[in-house]
Order: sequence, then C-alpha cells, then structure tokens
Amino acid sequence: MRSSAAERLLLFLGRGALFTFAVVCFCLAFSEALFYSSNGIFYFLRKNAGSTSADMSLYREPFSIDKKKGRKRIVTIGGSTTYGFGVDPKDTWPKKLSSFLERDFPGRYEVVNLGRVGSHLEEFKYDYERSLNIYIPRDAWMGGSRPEVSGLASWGWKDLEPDILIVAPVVNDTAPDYLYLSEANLISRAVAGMNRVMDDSFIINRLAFGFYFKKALSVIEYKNRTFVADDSRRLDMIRSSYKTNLRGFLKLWEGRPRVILLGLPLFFNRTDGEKQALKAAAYWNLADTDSISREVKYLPLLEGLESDIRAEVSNELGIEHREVGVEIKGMDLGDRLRLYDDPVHMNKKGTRLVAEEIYRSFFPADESL
Amino acid sequence: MEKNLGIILLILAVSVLQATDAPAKDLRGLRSIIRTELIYPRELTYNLPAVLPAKDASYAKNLEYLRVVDALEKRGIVKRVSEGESTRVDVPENNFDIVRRQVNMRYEVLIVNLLLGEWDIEIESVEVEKGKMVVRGRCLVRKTTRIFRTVIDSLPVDERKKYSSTPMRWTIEKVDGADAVSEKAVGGP
Repeated sequence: MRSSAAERLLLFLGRGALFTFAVVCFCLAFSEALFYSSNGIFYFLRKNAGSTSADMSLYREPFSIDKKKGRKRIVTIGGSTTYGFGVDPKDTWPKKLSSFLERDFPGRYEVVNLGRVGSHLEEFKYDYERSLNIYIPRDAWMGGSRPEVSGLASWGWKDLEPDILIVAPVVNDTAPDYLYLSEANLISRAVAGMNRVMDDSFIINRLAFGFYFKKALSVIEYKNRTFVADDSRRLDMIRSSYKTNLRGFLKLWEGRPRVILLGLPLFFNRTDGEKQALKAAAYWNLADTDSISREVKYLPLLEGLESDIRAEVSNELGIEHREVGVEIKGMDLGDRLRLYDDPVHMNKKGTRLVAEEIYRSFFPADESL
Repeated sequence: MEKNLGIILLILAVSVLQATDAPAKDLRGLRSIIRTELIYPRELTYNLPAVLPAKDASYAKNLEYLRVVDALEKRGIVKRVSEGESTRVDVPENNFDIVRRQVNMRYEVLIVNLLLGEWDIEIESVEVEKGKMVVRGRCLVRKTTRIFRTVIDSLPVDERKKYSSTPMRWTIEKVDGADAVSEKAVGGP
C-alpha cells in the first residue's frame, strides 16, 4: 500500500513537472514568436542588429562623425529650440552662429547641431555613449520607456570630439515633470527594485520572455505611482532631479572641451498674467486658450528654477554660463510676440537675435581663440 | 476780383485744415492705443487641423479643409501623409515662414497655422458713449503672403468674408488707470 502511495505521489509529481516544463517551453517559444512578428528578428539576435541609415534622422541636418581637418568643432546640444522647431534649417540659431563665424573667421570653425525635438538631460546621458535613433517623449520616459539596443546608433556624442560644447537645455526637463510628476508607493518601489535586479540577468538579456516580463513590471511600477499634487513639493523634486541630471551630464565632458552653458529665453515673463496670455492667444490665433493660460503661470516659474540651477552648477564646475535674451525679456509684449511662434519657440527673427548675442558673448574678435 | 477770390479760398483752406487737424491727431493717438493694447498689426492665419477628418468639425468644414489641403499640396506647401483612415498634414522644410505648427507637450502637431498676411486697423470716427470712447473703423488685410490667394480661393464664398476688410467697433475706457480696449466686428465687410 505504501509503495503504491509513493508510486502515485511520484507519478503525480512527475506529471506535474512535465506539465510545468511544457508550460515554460510554450511561454518561451510564444514570447520569441511574438517578438519576431513585431520586430522581424529573434530577441536573442537583436544585439547584433547594426545601426541603420536612420542614425541621424532625429537631427536637423546630417553631419560627419569625423572632424573637418583644420577646423575647431563646435557642438550645440539642446531641445527643440536648438533643433530649430518652426524655422527653416538655415534659420536655426546654431546655423546662424555658424554663418557669423564663417563670415569673420573663414575656415576656422564647424558647427554641429545636436539639438533634438523633445530632448532632455536624462536622454543626453544616453546619447553621450550611443545616440538615440528613436524619439521617446518625456512623459513616456518618466513612465519608464527606454531605448532598446536596436534604437541606439553605433556612435555617441563623445565620438564627435568637440572643441567647444554649447549646452542649451530648455523646459523639456521641467515642464512635463511639472505637469505629470508622480512618486512611487510601496508596490511601485518594490517592483522598481525587482526591475533593477533583473536588468543584467540572463532572462532579461537573452530571452524574449524576459523582455515582456520586464515590460509588465514597468507597467505595474508606473500604474502604482501617484501624481504629486503639492506644488512646492513637486518643484523641490524637479529642482533636485534637474540639478542631478545637469551636473551628471556636464561631468561627462569634464576636462576636455570648452563648455558653455546657456539658458534660452521663453516668451512669458514673470510679470505676465492672464491679460498677456489672452493677447498672445489672439495674436497667434490659438483655438484653445486654456493651455496658454496655464503656461503663463508655470513657464516663468520653471525658467527661473532652471536658471538658478544653471548658475549654481556652472559655478560649481567652473563652466562659462549665460542666460541669453535679457534684451528680449525687457521688450514690451507686442515686440516680444513678433519674435516667437508660441510660448517656447522663436521665429527666425528671434533665433537671429539669440545667435547674435551668443556670438558677441563667447567669440571675441581675438584670433588666438 | 481774382485777388479777393484767392484770399477767400486761402482762408477757407486754412479753416478746413484747422478744423480737421485736431481730430486727425486724436484719431492717430487712438489708433496707437488700440494697436498697442490689441497688438496690431497681427498675423492673419487660417487654422488647419493637422489630422483630417477633424473629429470636432462638421462634414462641410472637413470638405473645406480638404479643398485647402488639395490646393496647397499642388503648390508643394503641405504634403498629405496617409495614416489608415485619416490623413496627416505635413509641412516640408523651407515653408516655415508661412506655416506654423501648434504642438502638444509630446510635439504631436495639433494645428497647422497658415499665415495669409496681417491685420491692421484704420480709424474713421470717434464718439463718446456713456463715458466710454467708442471708435469706429476697419480691420484691413495687408502684406498678403504667397499662399493668400490659394487658400482664399479654396474657401466657400461665405468664409472668404472673414479674411477681408471688416468694419470694427472699439471701446476704450480707463480701468485702474490703464486703457482697457475691447473690439467687435460690426456686420459684414
């Protein structure tokens, strides 16, 4: 009887193990098939996927990784204002700067514009090692989206070996955070911890099942975050992360190129209110005035926060720094409106003024530079 | 006789000049106030939804948008990109002097503003009503761009009126020591 019971137990356990093994194999195979159908490549082969000709599609104009012989390379880094959103390629401020330099110091400089729409300091740190080929909006980034290996180019910003680096981060680092910032509860923190532990594991790196499991963990982590309603706490969190990210990115370049840190002017001043917002909405023929009525309040607040931190970090690291656009900020509303297409982006008249100020401030007539 | 006639005509001319000089100065001053407070000259634009058909627009309005897009696409000003059942309106480079895109926080284009020219104002008369200054005049279309005609000719006749000279009524009053100006279109062109 006993042996019979033991046999039955063994049989049961054996069948259970067989069933479990079958389920695991099915999950692994199904995950690989799903990944293949979505990406055209098996997950375990993706690391060998080479970069494509889309390497530079997110930049305004293509450029050579290798430096032009005999020229000092200036690299400009920033978001959509540096990219030149809303203006023609010849009217971006880096292009204007390039034309001033070529006019006064022919053949001595080349300017490479790495400005990208929606880009921010956390992403810049990725780009330093390997440039991103895909656009991840800031709010998705805050939700945990990160580029896969196939979304990274074969080269990074460090490979451009700039002689002068001009960094102009604008509100991509703070405005989405201000609107969407959330913090983790206990479940979210536990899942985030699990995610971090599994990051370098065989399952995550080699199996499609691991890829989807990690995605599921990210969703659970994100869904268990709660919006930070308290304004001053939110600003404190933003201040802290902006400072950490700015310092972290600038330290990557320490000791090598000449680094210039800039703040570019936004349209609204701190003294502007609802009246100015409505005038701007009428001038720009905006269908929806709700958004601009909020922006007139929070954009100057964030601009002030960022400029304070830029001053602090540049002082700490011994870096040249300028908040560009004092003259623009001092103009009355009507004159300012004629330089902007919206509360953040300048038109070609505005970009020209900005480029002229940058040129005057950092590129003196001294040929020995 | 001729000499006396000449003197009479001169006196009449000076009187006319003196009579019109003061109101002309007032009108120029009022024009300046209205221009400053309401930001004139200001851009004249036609707002095109970036994705068609627009969900919050009528069938007739969507047809209008498509006609405008058709006409502009023939000139290479915009480009249609099919996205399943909808169409996205893309803007090729080198057209950003006349086309502006309104975006959300994710840089998804919501509206394409087509710059047609600018609005400026002309003052015709002023009177005082119930302690407020009421100024009458017109909003004029000036400095039309290279797409003005293309867009206007694509619009239904009724819609074209919105982009032509319009009689206006402005009200100016002092509020907390500053000029408060409001405007209203009066009837048709």
